[in-house]
Amino acid sequence: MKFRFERYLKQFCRLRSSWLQTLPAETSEKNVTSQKLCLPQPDYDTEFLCNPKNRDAIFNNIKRRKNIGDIDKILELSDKPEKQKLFLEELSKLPNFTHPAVIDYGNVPKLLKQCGEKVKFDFEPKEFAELVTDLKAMRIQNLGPIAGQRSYIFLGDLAELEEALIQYTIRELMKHGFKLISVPDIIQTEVIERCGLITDDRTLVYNLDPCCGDDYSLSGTAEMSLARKLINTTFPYDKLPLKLAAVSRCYRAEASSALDERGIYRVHQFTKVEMFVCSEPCQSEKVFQDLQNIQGELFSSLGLHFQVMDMPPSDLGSSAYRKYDIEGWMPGRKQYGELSSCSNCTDYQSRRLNIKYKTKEGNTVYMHTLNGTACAIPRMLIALCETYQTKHHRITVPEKLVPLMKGKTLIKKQPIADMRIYKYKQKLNLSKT
Amino acid sequence: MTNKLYRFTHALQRTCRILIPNIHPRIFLPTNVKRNYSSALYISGNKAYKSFAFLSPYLDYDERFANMDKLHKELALRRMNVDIVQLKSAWNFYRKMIADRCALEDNNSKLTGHKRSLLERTDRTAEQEQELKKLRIQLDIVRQDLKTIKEAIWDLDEDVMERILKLPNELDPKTPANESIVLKSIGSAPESFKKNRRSHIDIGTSLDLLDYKNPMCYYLCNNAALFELAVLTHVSRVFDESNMIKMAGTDFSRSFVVEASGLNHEDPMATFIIENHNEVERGSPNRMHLVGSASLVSFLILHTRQLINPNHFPLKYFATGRQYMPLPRDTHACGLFTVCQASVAHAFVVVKDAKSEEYETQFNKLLESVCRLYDDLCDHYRVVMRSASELQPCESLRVSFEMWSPFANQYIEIGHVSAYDNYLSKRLLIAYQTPYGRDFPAIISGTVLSVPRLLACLLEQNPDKFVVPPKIAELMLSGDYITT
Repeated sequence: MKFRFERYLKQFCRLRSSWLQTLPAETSEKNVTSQKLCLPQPDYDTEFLCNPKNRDAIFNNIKRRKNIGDIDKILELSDKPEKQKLFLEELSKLPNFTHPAVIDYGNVPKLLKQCGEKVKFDFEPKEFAELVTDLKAMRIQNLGPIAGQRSYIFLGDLAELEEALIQYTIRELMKHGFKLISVPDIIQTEVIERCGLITDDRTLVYNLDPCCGDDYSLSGTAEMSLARKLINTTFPYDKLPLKLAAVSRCYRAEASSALDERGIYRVHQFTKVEMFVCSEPCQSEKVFQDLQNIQGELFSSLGLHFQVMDMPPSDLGSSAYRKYDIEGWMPGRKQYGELSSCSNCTDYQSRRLNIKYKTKEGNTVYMHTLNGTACAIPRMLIALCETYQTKHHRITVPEKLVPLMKGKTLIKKQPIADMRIYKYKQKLNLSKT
Repeated sequence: MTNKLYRFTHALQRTCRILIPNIHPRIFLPTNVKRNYSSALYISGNKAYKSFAFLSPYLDYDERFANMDKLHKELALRRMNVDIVQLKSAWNFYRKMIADRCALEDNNSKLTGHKRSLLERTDRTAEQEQELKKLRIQLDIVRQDLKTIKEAIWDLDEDVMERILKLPNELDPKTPANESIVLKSIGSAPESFKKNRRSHIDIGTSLDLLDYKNPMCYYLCNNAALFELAVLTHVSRVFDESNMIKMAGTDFSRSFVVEASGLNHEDPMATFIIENHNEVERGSPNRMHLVGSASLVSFLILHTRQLINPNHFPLKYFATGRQYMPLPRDTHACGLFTVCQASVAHAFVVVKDAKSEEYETQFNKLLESVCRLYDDLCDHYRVVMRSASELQPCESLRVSFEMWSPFANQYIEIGHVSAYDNYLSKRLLIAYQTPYGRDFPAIISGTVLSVPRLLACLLEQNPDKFVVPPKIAELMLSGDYITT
């Protein structure tokens, strides 16, 4: 009996130790993300949302927006505490409210104003892709099988123009009191969802192979990384509005084969300077206007012609309360193209990420968050290069960017080595054995 | 007592029985994983339906295996454990199979031709009918053999090619065998570094410059964020003076380029792998990776399968931007030294011939440019030539630029320049025309500067205030920084 016991004990110990040996890989992964992100529980405005009196207003709002969310289901679940999880899930799908001014726009944006004038040429202007490829300043051919469709590489002066634009934009934003923050481009998928990007059937977001212990995705805009930084914070009222800016790489999985989006108009990766503002609720309309003015100044100072559009409910992302788009004139394409957008998200994001401030009276209240593009590189380059092209198919550097381009005033043909595709297949049998 | 012991024994017995199946598959898992590994650079025949092969690498292993002593010695210096005798014979066998297949294919086409010419005749003699019958039988046999040999080659592809593509680059004669050599040391580490030792995370946090959460997530705030931009602008200035061309490339890469650059493309701890990229065919070994636009891979993408005009050598490029790299397994996270996202400067030079003097000249010129850069960034740094065992498989020579971290109490590599000979160009068919045919150019490249590492060392060297080097301060957009 004792012998058998010893035998099993020994076997047990052996198995236990070999079991332990299989563990280290897992524990080291845990070390990597030792400080796992603890997202706060979203605090939805259930008092309003679950009041049957408001059902029709909410229902109509959902219908006007992208028709995601089901208020009747929410009302049905609201008094069933055992279905709390489902209830919260349904609540998370609801869009933000909509600014009363835009409710009746239907599906059509409203033109608010136009700035500058369409540039006139005494020659036929070229499109960006042709213009810069001829100058050897960009390569897009044959990159698909190596780096994915819609890949592009800027070379020489065009790469420098990108850097100059970023520098210029940051400089201008700092004059307006923005603080620059350097942000991560890879963030937890859950943060992206909390920011209001609902990942339904269409895949908009690139996910990483789940190896890092957490579910990570590539950020589509610095707005999410900046919001991530502010999770669970409370600011004193005299620190508001909090104006942040970030330069980041943005990754977007959305695909399109529309002819309108040829060249580098819609790409999967690009650099962008983003503005992000937290303000007191009573100030957010004013800040929203300020952001639009800053964008206008930036584009005007670079000599672009553009129009400001007030976007209809059907075009608003679920977090937005109101959104302005700025469309710049692209003379080569002969059409306006979206250069930037600016959204007021009111308390939609701050309720989901617990971002608050302390009022003068000492109450803690959710802030309003706003975001706007200051400079999205590919489209900005399209608008600038097409506007500033010369008769001899070169590009004049906009005056404001000349000092940031080491005094260069004209982009000519770049001294890039000639290359062509190498068609070759090694024949192993011909060489000696 | 006995009763209790009896019951406990039984319980143990049951536990063991439950444990055994749980453990054994896990113990054997690593070998399973190995078997599933498949090359993306060389797509074997039976994977071809899953994955399109954009190129197949140039294989120079006859030359590599010609000098077994050298290969053996170099592998030992790199401390890599490869049975090259076995690998050589596997390679030779593979070559023989390919030759056999070609012979069979020749035979097949010859017989088919003969058969066709016979069939075309309307007035066949009895003798010819007999011959036709014979031909049919012969063709059947040849085709059966061809099918068998093709399948055998597919199996070999998986086994031999995968192992052979993992063979490292040849070592540069200058690479030190055992001990790294300090080429030069500028300035010296002040005594003050020894006192007041604090980690850069503490210092950065207290100066409101850094918000560090984990290796995947950190924020640079205030002057640190401006510093990051300004350093990269300064790099542009220095490299522009050296007539290097700026490039802004792609962040994504298919697996075959990642594999060609010497990384394990199947290991999610070697590069970030995109899980849901819609262009990746289901089950394909050729996936999509996030590497960052300022990286070796990004420059390789620009040149992959390109025939370069030889009059334009040397090509000299640089990029400033992102580099993404997961924290390797079993690595201890160490603040900004081991972050997964870094703003870096990367240089890339292509020289016609690795045996020419130009190769060495360009390597030294790049080192000089980088030294000029570091002269502007810090008072003390050193340049170290790495020993064979510290090299990456694809490198033949590596020179590091190191700064002192008072807290870690050691030198930290801030940047490096490596020579790759024509190892990468052969794998990715980067070539140029010669009067007699084609040849493969040599590549010199390296991440010359990593901003988070530089920032960490500067913070630790001056724990009380953020001291920005004057050349960088000139470029910082505004702010109340203190200059030296």
